Amino acid sequence: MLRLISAVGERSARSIEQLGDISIFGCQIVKCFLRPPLRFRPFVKELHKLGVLSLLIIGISGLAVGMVLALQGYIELSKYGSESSLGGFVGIVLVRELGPVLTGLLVTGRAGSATTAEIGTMVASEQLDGLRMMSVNPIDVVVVPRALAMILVMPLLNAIFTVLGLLGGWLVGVRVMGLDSGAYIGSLTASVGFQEDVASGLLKSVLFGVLVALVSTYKGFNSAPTSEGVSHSTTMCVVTASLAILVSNYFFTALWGM
Amino acid sequence: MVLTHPISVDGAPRPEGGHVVLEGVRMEFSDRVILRDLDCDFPAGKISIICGGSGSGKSTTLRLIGGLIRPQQGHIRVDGIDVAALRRTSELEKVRQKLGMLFQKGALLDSTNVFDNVAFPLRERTKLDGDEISARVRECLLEVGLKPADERLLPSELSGGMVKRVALARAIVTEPVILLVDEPFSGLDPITSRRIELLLQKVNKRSGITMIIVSHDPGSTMRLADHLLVMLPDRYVQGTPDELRNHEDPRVTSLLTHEVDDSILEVDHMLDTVIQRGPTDLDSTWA
Ligand SMILES: Nc1ncnc2c1ncn2[C@@H]1O[C@H](COP(=O)(O)OP(=O)(O)O)[C@@H](O)[C@H]1O
Ligand SMILES: [Mg+2]
Repeated sequence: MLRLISAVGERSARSIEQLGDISIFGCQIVKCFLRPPLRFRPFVKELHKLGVLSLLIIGISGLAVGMVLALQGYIELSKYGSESSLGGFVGIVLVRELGPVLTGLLVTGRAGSATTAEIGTMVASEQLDGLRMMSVNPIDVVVVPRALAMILVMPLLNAIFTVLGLLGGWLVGVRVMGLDSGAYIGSLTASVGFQEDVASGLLKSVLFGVLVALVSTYKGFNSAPTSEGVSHSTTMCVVTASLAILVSNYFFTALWGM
Repeated sequence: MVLTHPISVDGAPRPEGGHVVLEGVRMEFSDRVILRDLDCDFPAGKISIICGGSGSGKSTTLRLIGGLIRPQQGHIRVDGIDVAALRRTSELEKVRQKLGMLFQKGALLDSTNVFDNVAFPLRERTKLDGDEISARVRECLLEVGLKPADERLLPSELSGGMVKRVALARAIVTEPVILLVDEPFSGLDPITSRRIELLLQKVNKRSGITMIIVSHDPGSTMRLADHLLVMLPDRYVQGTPDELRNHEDPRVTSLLTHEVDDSILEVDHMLDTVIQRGPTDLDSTWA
């Protein structure tokens, strides 16, 4: 029993220590970002890697999620004879919750893990030490472009996910179930407001972008310089960032209404 | 930074300084003692070679001199400045301007080509304009024996020997006075290895740069070294190649000649296993 308590205590102490570490890391990123010059070329390259290359998975997922939402929603709503509010249902769920959260999780798996593995490999092949020996701050060169790109890409991908989800919902609701297209769109525009829904969804995905950027670069930067270390960091990046997204999403939703 | 010692000019003056001294250095990683009471002196302008069993702390010693890690105890003086005591990155960077490091696997930035890798430290740390940088980079690439056609290759397209050449070019492009080299001959065929050896010797002769090289290769060690540091699990031995060639400790001569008298395998711990044991075990063997 005593051993259990001490083990729990040790784990919590380590988690808190790591949280402090990540915060310091975040401050260093901000400091480097504020100090010119901004490295434009690596930044654009990262935008391509993290954003453009994620488009396919984000698009297909958005479409699939929207379609299944419409399918389930239609069946439930028709029990109460309110199929006409399908557009509003799909819209609210996608814009407020599923868009930002699923985009966050998908980007974590697709791009966050890649970022961690890439930086981790640079640690293992001593590239970061090489930079240090050249009096170049590796955070400046390696971390800042990746973190910035991640933060910028997340809301954009979220927007694409959501729009394609709405399209998927429309396809199933109107084309498959035979709902009136005007009714779907009317209910959608009536229910989804800009400030309480669209703005909150986009803000959420910016927050998730910051979380994934922080976690993925931190885990890569601090990975052990072996192939085992890199693979462990990559796993931990996905686990930590996913949990961070899901937990912070709850609090964001709870606090946004207040 | 002003570039004052063009390395390609024959008979260029020897740069000022380049003297590295370690005093009572103790280094441990999470309770495993890797270095204990290491005292050594790497003379300026000379080629010093560090040899020892794998895991004896050779790379660790280079990383300590570069200020990449900090010892638990002791002083590491680079031209009188104690690297181990520096706390601010800006102070460390001043010392690192004197240092170049050639990592074991090259540590080239794998997303940029050969030219950009070598130009990188100049672009980052000097105010030279594009033409001056190009000229300087080409000069260094020529110095290490790379053709202009190789400039556009990515590190992944290079052979092991070429990686070492590019890494050497990058290390000397800023004209350091001390070059730290980690296992330049590992993973190379004997011919390429010999080429790299001659290259290092040429760079040392031309620019008078201090070289601290980690190597297991007995042949090139005896040919290159002006000064030797042999790291054994329980002691460190220093001296010139001539002094150590007939050293009383058979492990020293084994490392330097590659001829292992099997009797030492019985008597002594194999060179590479001691580090794996706990610090208390090591304490008892530490005479
Ligand atoms: N950053 C580190 N963290 C923990 N252990 C390390 C670290 N760097 C080196 N070591 C350990 O120190 C010992 C000596 O390493 P090293 O100096 O690389 O040996 P070598 O003489 O083969 O170059 C090895 O056992 C290695 O595992
Ligand atoms: Mg080594």
